[in-house]
Amino acid sequence: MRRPYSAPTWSGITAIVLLCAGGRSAAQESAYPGVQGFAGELVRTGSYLLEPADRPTVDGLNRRLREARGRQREASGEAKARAVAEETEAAKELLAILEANKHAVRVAIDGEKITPAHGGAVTLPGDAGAILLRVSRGDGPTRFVTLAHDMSQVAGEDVRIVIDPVPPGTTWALAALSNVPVKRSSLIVEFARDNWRMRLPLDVHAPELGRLKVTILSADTGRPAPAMVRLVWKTMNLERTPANAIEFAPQFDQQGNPSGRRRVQIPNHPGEPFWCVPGPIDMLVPPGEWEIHVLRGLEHAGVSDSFTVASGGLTEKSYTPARWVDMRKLGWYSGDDHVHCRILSDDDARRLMAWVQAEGIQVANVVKMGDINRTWFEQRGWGKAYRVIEGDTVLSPGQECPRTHQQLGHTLAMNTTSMVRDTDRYYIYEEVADAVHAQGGLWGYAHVLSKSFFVDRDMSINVPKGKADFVELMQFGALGTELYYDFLNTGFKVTASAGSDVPWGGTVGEVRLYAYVGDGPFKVDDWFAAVKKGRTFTTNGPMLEFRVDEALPGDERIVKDDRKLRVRARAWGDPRRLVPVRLEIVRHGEVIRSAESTDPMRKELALDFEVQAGHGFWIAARARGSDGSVAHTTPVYVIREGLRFWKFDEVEALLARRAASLEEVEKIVAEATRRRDQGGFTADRAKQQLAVQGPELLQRVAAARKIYDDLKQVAERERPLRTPAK
Amino acid sequence: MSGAQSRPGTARGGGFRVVVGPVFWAVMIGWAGAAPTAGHDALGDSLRHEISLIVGPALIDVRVEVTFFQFNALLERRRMDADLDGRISPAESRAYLEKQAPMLEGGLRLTVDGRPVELAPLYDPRLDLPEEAAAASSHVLRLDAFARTPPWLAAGSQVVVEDLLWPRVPAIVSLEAAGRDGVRMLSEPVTEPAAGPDAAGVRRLRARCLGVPESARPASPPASDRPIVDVAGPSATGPRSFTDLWAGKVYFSVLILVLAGVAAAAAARRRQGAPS
Repeated sequence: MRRPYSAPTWSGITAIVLLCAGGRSAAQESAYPGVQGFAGELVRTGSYLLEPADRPTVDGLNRRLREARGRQREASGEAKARAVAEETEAAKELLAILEANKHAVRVAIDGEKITPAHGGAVTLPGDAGAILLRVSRGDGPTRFVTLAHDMSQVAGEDVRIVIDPVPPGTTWALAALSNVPVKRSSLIVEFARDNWRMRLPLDVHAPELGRLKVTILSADTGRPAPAMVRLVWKTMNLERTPANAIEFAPQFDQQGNPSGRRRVQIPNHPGEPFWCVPGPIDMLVPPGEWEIHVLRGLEHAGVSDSFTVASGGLTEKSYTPARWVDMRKLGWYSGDDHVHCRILSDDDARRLMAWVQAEGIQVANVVKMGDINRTWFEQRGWGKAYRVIEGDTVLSPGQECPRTHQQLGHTLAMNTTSMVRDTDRYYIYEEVADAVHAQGGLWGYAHVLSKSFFVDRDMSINVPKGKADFVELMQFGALGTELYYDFLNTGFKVTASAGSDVPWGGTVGEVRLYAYVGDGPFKVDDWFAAVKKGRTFTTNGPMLEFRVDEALPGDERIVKDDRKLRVRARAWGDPRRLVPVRLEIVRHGEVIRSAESTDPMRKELALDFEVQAGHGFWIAARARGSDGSVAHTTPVYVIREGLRFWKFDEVEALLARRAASLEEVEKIVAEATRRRDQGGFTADRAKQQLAVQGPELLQRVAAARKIYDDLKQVAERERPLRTPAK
Repeated sequence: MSGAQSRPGTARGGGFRVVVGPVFWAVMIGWAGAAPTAGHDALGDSLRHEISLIVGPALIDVRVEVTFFQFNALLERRRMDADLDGRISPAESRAYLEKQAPMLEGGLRLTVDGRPVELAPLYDPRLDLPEEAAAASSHVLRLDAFARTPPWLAAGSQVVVEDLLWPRVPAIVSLEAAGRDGVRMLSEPVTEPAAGPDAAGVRRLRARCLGVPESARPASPPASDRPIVDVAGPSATGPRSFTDLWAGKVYFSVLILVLAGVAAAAAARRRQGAPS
């Protein structure tokens, strides 16, 4: 692997010199060392130790302490003195609350005597908790320390918590314990002073756990269904992994975020991780207050609930996340074009199927990934025999390959019958596209939204040849259209698609494409056919309907003259999840009509107007949701007979950009050839093969350039036909 | 036997260490930035910055989760693993975080309608290091910060989180914004998720305030608070780790000169047979 971190030698020496030199602190030390960290942990995990009335007070004190600390670092002179005073004042208020705390274990060290001799019994709220200790050792300043101790990680039989050092004065310690056995455990708290330690035996008592049973039901069938679940033990603000949560790590080949703990976008709960559970949860949990969040994909409202689990008791909960829309009933079925997950067994397939069902998409394009050196995310096979189908949910094998990072970009294939991969002809993407098409599959480009990995280069070679069926416009919660619009504006039809790219993305279906298959029982081949036709929109929130006269996205609307066309668009959501805040109609990349709403209860935005066909254009709808989500349709192509639907006024600049991309390909081939001829690249197969395959690649570049040159001629021929449009 | 070692909370010195941190990380970042194709490399060489912004009438909470994938994850683990035993002990992860603290604390800024708002850490940074071997190629660093909601927050206000964390390492950045207690927020779409930072090393993520109910108008901050920094000048609460780089360079240059002088003097004394 190339070393991405390289640096001039002097830089490394500089760092080492400076680190070795150490340094004398010139800043004023806090009068209460450690108070910020202590206050933060007390708020975050130890607030149950505080009286309810004190909890917001301590939260406020933590914030004041940290602000004061920051100002001390930034300020000088009088301002710094003021910040120190602020910190001291807040620390004193915190101390007053701690001194009155009835949970604190108070210990006095006097010479070689420790009082009391036994710390007594500390009752924890569950299998985790914290011990608050006040240790006084004569006169001296007050300091604060925090500790964390996982009792499942004890190598021997003794459990020792070491507070090191305990200098003269008062030490407040907050020791967080986790994985504490039920009922009584005896442990030792060691106080280090000078060259020896004093020991305080202490018991902790963890209550009996409670049993929690949670069933998530499908709104469609009323039966238990897979779901994405987040469980939080509110007493200590700790996440708890559901007992039957699926761990996907072994299926992720150490790539991306290789864990079953997935971040899911949910309004008002940003950044929170969820686990996929395939069915009812039945587990023992610590007693106390609990919070649960349940998701079943974009078409359902989320469920959030709080409940109490009693020690030794049974708590049963059942949730049915409500659908706010069932796109299937409107003929639209959803998919994710970019799911990486190893499937080598029925068990592998079952786990991924549960995830896909939990997120409520119908088609997952499960892609084996490759580069010129190797592959990842192995699959059992390709084609219909290796589809995994359960109801109307389908796992369909595909591939992300060829895939070059510094040369031509990443590509995707769906609905193939074999893996198409020849590393001796790796840079000739066109051949892969042809092979995929020969298999009846679909071929397109990944990461187009962000123009990643120089994908524009191969798009400039193969889109004009009609090789690309789709491009990824949405990923990682974002929509990117710049490159897409360039190709549309040049008069090339390309379908909008979306893919999560898990395990790099958050969760399957977090961005998705919907394809219109119409009425009747769902058949995945119809879905692929609909994608091929371009009858799609992409979204991570609002739903979209768009028609020009009766034409759907991907359709051509061919007109003989400059007639009126009726444009209808609708974006909708639901206040339980999101509502549309803006709907736009985009023609040749420019917004020609829009509707907006700031009403959080307004479910729908609609536009219905007429537009002149003019000389033809592409026209699409896009929308934004109140949670920041976005949606975009594939365009309807309005084609005036005898003319391209391109953005004629910008053709010169558009073609120049494509020419620039082609020149880049020529440059990287020339550079690779030069380096190869000089004996380089002995260990870099990607670049070495670029030199080897370069001549053939350049033939493809020349063919593409010929197309663009021809388009310049087309533009000249069209010019006199394009009288000023109305 | 096992034992949990205590540590003093967040107390840190300034002075020399204030200079060491920025320079050290500048070097490290320079190292990362030296990659010839940074910004166009594989996703596995990118970081993921997932930023959550929750705006309420009194407080604004910002959480950043930086996910390290594959190469970067292994590189950071190697930095944590001081005893090279292949496992990251709590003490090692604490030491790692303490070393990083200056950079992390200066790695986020906040503006509301273009006016800087003081952002302070809410909790100490945390590391989520999977123990399972199958997931060891990824870990998450969590940062929590907060600000006092400025009185000028209103419907239509633009809230911008400025992310200066690892500015030279390719990153996929995202922002999720939410309101609290009646405040309504909308994230602006990030249209270029893999885009790099601007020339100053800043990634800007934007959200718009859709509404602040009259009943939830932000209260005036206490007199002792200092939420506003002079709009015209550079942010006084800016990231010391980066904006103080010049100061660090000057300090470093002086240090080198002093060390060179001392060494030269010592050599001269040795040559003259003087007692050292």
